[in-house]
Amino acid sequence: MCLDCGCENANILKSNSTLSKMDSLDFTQLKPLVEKIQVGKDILHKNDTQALLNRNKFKGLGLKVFNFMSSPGSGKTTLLCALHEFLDKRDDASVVVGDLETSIDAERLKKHYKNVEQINTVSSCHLDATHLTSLNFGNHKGVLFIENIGNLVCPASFDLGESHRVAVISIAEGEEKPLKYPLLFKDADLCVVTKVDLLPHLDYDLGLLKANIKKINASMPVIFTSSKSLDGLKELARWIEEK
Amino acid sequence: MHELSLAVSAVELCLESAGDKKVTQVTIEKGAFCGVDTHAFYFAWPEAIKNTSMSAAKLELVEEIGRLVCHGCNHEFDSFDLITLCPRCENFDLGIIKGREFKVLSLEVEDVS
Repeated sequence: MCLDCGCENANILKSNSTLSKMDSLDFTQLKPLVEKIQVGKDILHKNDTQALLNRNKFKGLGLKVFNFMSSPGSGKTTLLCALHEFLDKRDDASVVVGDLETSIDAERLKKHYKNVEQINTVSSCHLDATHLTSLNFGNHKGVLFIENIGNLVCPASFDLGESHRVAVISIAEGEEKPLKYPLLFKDADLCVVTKVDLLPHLDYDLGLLKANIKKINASMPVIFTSSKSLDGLKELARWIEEK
Repeated sequence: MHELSLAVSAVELCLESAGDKKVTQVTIEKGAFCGVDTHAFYFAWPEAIKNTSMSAAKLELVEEIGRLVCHGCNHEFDSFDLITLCPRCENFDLGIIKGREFKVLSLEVEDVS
């Protein structure tokens, strides 16, 4: 046993002089000093900084930007296609559409809108503010619709620099969606309910949906639409133009 | 599953903050209403740190209670749940005062020079 401290290095101490003992120590094995650094920065600060730059850029161009968010298959693309005819200044409306893969939605939208840009995120399940930095800004004036990636969870966390957020929900999704995905509905300025033409064919409680939306965002207006019968699209176009 | 991209952003922030020191431990504050799933974030963490200089960094998520305000009676109260009623007037029209935070609080680093 070590005579100095009682550790188990007895052999070293007994057999070696102090000097040779020092030589035998491996300093590379010493544990480095641990230091604590206070950071206190939001993990989304990069996104939020870029979103602010986007917002200033949109403002400078006089663009009103609407971020449409919903689950996949709620009918965002069909809604925007049908909405075009109801916009007073339809030539000044353009769309940026996000999908993981393909330009199918952009091709559909191009039949209605002059300027359409497709963003393919490949693996990301949401658009973030940096996705918009590559836009051809010169092409957009008046109103810009952003069709976010179909997802009720992740897009809600990423500010893109938009002027307004629109939550889209289809009748086919059930009445409880706003309760199950509260953040997206909490932060939205408008809720658009799509596919109301399906109501006669479903056991759907529209009153329950309205009550559930109110539970999450009591002051948010709700517009009921059908891209097939064109119900509610005039009202939606007016809401957009009044903003 | 935006937790992976958030984990990657968190790692970038840690590396920036640590400079040339090696990050061994990260403490992150997760507000009750920030929309991040704790399990998914822990699941994403090893992927996010892989092939970085902090590939052995341990993660600690600290969950913070949120604070809501009733738009009916202005009562403020703490809650982990966004879908709740005002305990005073049972109104459900509530605003978020606190709980959206998702930030790197602190790091433990080692000098590698």
